[in-house]
Amino acid sequence: MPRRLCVVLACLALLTPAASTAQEYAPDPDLRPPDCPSIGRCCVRDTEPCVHPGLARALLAGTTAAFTLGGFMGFEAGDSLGPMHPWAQMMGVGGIGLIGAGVGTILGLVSPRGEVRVVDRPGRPLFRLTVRPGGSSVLGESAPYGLGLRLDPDFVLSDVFSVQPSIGVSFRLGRSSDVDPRPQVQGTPADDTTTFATASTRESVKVSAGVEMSWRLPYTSPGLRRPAYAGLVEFKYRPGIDVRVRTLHPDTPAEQTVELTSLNPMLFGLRWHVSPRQRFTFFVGPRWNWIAFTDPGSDELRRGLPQNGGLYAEGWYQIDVPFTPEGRTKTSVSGRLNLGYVHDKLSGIAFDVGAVIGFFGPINVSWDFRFRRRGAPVAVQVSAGVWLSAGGGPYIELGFVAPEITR
Amino acid sequence: MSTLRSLPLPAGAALALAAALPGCSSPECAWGDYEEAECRVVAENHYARLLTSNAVEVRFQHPLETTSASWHALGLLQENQSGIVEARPATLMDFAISIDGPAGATLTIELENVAPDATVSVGVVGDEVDVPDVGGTLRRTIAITLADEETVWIRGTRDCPDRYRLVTAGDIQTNPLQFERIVEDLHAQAAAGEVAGEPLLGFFILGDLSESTEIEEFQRIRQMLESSPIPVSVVPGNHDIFGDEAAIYSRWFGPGNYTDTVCRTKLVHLDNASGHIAESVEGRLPQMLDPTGIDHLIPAMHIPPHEDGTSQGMRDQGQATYMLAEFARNGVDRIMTGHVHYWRENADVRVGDVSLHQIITGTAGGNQGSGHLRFGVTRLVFGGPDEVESCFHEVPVPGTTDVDHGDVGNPIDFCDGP
Repeated sequence: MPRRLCVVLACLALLTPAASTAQEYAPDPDLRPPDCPSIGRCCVRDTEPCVHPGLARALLAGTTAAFTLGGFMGFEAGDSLGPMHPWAQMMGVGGIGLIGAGVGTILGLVSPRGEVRVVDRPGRPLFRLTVRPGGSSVLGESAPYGLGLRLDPDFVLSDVFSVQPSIGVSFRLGRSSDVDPRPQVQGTPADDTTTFATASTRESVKVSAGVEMSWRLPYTSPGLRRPAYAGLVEFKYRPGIDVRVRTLHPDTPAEQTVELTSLNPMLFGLRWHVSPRQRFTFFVGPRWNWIAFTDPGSDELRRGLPQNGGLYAEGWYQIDVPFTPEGRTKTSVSGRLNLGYVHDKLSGIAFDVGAVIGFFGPINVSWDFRFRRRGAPVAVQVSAGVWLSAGGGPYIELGFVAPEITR
Repeated sequence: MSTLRSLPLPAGAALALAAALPGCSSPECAWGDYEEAECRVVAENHYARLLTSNAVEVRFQHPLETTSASWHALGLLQENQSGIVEARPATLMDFAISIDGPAGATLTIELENVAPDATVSVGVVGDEVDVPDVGGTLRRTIAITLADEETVWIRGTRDCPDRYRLVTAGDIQTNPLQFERIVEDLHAQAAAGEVAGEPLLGFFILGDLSESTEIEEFQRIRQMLESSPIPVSVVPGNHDIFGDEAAIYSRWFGPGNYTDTVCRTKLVHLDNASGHIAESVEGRLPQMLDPTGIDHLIPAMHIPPHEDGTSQGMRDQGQATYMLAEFARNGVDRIMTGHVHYWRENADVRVGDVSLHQIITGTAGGNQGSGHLRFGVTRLVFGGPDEVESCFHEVPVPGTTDVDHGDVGNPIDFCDGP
């Protein structure tokens, strides 16, 4: 068999693993609760509270479609965005919910084992290492590989409350450099592959810290009635801070360091479990930024007061996919598809369409695999993803999963 | 289980591909995607020099330059079908053009965008003659015969008053007819400036001349600007560059990254139409913003580097932060931008221990939605050191009754009189 065909078949096998592996084992038990005529009209097995995924996804699709349309109409009404206008955020986050509901519906229909909860589904590992590819397509320029390290311990303090602090650092493994393409400018060539001189080099590092607190909300709260069978909802609060330091070495002695500190003290969110395998999560909150900078020849940062950093928002739709039958293989494998939108341009990446430049943050599509030996307390998680945005690109992650810490 | 063994394949393939990419590298802008900021740097430098059909080398130079060994992206040069060289200085005040070629070669140069009060001279060094203005228009025509190997220079200079004015606006886009009214209004503003003892020296446009990056749109705007009483400089906006594979903007308006010394004011034109400035321009920022020898420093660009909480700023906010820091370090007096279709002033943009002053003037014709319609220009008045005043001069659409009244929640500092 030609090698290319083997690769294609292997990829297809990856996409339809449950169908290809299920026949090797005994069939799953009937997923329907007793007296249920159709799996689509009943509660999903072993799930509290009862959820009808089709209904929940329809509700999510309607809600997020309204948000997306509302954001578009708000923008069109004013033609431009004013301070703290939420229209772009509504379109971005709403769009992810809408697309996610559509993709989730398709996967829910084609999944041969229904939508029962995936045991040991991927989540945030305790420790993860991220690698972003480097390399430049321009002669004489360099873009080193990027590296990220992140620690996210998970403290489950009760059945309804958990805390997940996090701290991370990311940086480039060297200086990136750019050439000056003006043909008439004489200078020292960047290297022996081009006659263009180096225009500037830069280094950057980002440190972030925060804590995510999650409360599982009762299905019906006083004064708040929800449609029946719509799924579990968690309330989230995630204050955080990012510090980005960028040092530029322009083609002069005027090296300059710029520090941007971004504070999100009031970032609130909801996670809606539209199915035991599918979740829609969003966060929104104001942000304040501090800019500090050095003078040439000085290491002392000139600091001052904060300024309005606008409305931060992010939205994620996540779909769990089981790869091995529960408890019947030596190693369990589970997967997760992530679709996300992050309304944040501080990392220099944004989703631009035609002349619509700089309005939206980046879009993320990624996939996680979690591997665990049967009975092992620890697991390995491997992820690959791409920021579908100008200035974005692919990345891979390797994570170490430790048991959650319970009281 | 064979499926499981193949799991690392996509990741490995991605890594291998990434590692292989540097081997496929090519020189900057080899493929000519002029939606990219760095490609427009290449284009603006390309169109600032010209080798004519009769082998004459014409180059835009810095006004203080004395040799023609190199050139500067300070204007636009093209040879038309009649063999006439069209030269459009991008600067509002002084300019210089060098001409070298075989002895006996002749050349007709049509200058446009040259102030009627400018003194224009032509000739080899020490043997220059003045070129008269053409009835108060922005055009001059010069016929040259190259006599020997010496470089012929065309130079334009203007006198500097103690106090002077500049006006600015961006975002013409969907309503060029309204922009035509703004250009007509420049005549009244120029006359009023003379009466006030503050001559109006120039108009700088803050991008988005077009809606769809179409040649016809640029052609129409450039024709309109010929009826202006004062020279006009331009930076591109996001609507002027998208999908551009033919350097359309650069071929019609020339450079977008350059400095122009207007008397004691340094105008720093920056092309951030792609949501960021070119990295090579970022590397030159300290030089471009050097305040030595001038009293006032004004960066002009399309997209506001300070978003002001609007989500309508540059794509690369990290680079915008660096730009703001450079502005703060060099003591910028005003940051002038367009992009957002209203007039908005933020006199307290906090950058380190410095407070910057940013004014958005996206009021040259673009759709403003359902709010109050405000079309017009921001007027800047320059006096002594650190003496800069700014206000909004409204040019209403016919039928408007609500003229010069502030908007609720968006206070507008209207100018007193034309």
